[in-house]
Amino acid sequence: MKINKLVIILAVVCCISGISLSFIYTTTKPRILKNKQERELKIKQEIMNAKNFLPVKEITAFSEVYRGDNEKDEFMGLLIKEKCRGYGGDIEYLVGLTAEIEPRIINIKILSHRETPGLGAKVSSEKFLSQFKGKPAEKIFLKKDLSSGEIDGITGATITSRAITSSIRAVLTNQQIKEYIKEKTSPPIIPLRTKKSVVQTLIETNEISVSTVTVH
Amino acid sequence: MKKIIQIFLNGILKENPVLIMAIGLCPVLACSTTATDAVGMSIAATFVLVCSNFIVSMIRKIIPTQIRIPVFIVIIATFTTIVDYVMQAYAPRLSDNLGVFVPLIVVNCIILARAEAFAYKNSVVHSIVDGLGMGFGFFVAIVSLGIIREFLGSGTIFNSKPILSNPAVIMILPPGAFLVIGCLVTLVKYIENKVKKDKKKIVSNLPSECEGCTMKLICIGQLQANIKKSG
Repeated sequence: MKINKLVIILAVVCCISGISLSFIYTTTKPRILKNKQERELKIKQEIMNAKNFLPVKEITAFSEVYRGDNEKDEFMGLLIKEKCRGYGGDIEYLVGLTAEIEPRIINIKILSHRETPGLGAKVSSEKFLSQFKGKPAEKIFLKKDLSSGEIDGITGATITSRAITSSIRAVLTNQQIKEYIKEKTSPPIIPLRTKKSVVQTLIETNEISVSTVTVH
Repeated sequence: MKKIIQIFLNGILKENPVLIMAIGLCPVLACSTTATDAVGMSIAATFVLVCSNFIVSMIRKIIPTQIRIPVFIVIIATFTTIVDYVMQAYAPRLSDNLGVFVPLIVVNCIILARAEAFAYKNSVVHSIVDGLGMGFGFFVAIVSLGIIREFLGSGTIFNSKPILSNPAVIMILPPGAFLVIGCLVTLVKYIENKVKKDKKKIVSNLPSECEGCTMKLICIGQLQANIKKSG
C-alpha cells in the first residue's frame, strides 16, 4: 500500500508538470516561430538586397535554396541554407552567392548554433564572417591549414572555424549550383529573324544615308 | 522581520553559494565571458530557484521523504523549461548567447541544494526570501566575474566601446575563469579570516574555564556588547 501511495504522488506531480509545460509550449510556440521567420527574412535581406526570394527546387543537394530577384525580376544571386557540424552541435547558416559562372560569396549569416559562449559563439561575429566576402573557393582555407588560405580562425575555436570554412567551400564548388547559375545567366539568344544587320541599324540611326544613283 | 533580513543576507555573505560554499560553479565559470550574459544567466537561475523553493516549501508536507529528490528534480526541470521557452520567445538574442546553459540550469546544484536543505524544512515566505538571497549571492558572484573577465579579456564592460587596447584573450578562455574565481575566493577568505581573528582575540582573553562551554559564543557576544558600551 505504501509503495502505491509513493507512485501515485510522483505520478500526480509529473502530470501537473506535463500539463503546465504543454500550456507554456503552446502559448510561446507561435512567437518562437514568428521570431525565427522574421529573423530569417531580415537576415536574407541583409545578405542580398533583393526584392523577393523564391525557392529553387532544381537544386537537391541542399535543404533550402532561394533565388533572389530584384524589382525587374532579374536574377541577382542564390541564397543557400546549409548546416555543418560544429563543436557543440549543428551550425545553421545562410550564404549568398553572386550570379556569376564562378560564383563568389556576397555575405554569410549564422542562423543558429550551439557553440561555447564567448569562444565558438564568435562564429556569428561580423569580424569572422566578413573575411569570406568576395573570395573564390581556392582561397577559403584556414591560414594555419593551408598557406594559400586567407581565413583567420577564431581564437580557441579551431574546430568551429574549420567546420564552417570547409562547409562554405563545399557550397561554392557544388556542381548543381554552378550549373544552375550558368543556365540562368547565359545571355538570352535573340532569334535570327529579328536580328538586324549592321547596315540597317546604321541607316535607321542616320549614321549613313542611302541614295539611289541611276546610271544612264 | 529580522529573521527574513537575516535569511536574505545569509545567501549573499555568510553562505554565498559560489564564493563560500563553492557550489553551482559550472554556469558561473561558463557563462561569465561577458557581463551581459552573466546578468541574463543569474536572472534565469534566480527565477528557477525562487519558484522551485516556493513550490517545494508549499508541498513539503505531502511529499514523502523517500521520493523527495525525484519530485524536486521534476519541479526544477519544469521551471527551467519554462524559462527556456519564454527566453526563446521574448529574448532571442540572450537565448542565442547563453545557448546550452539555459537548459543546464536544471543540474545547477544550488537549486537542488536549497530545495533539499532549506525549502523542504521551512515556511513558504522564508523559502522565497532564501531563494532571493541565494539568487542575489549568485548574481553578485557571476556578474563580478563577468565584469572582470570581460574587461580583461575583451577590453569592454557591458559591450561598451573598447577600453583596453590590448586585451588578454586568456581571460575569456576557460583558464581565465579559474584564475579569476581563484582570486575572488582568496579575497573573500582573507576578509572572512580577518573577521574571525577579531573574535578569536576575545576568546583568548576569556578565563580557561570557558573552554569547551557551549555558551561560550553567546558570552563573547555579550562581552563584545560590553566592550562597545564601555569603549
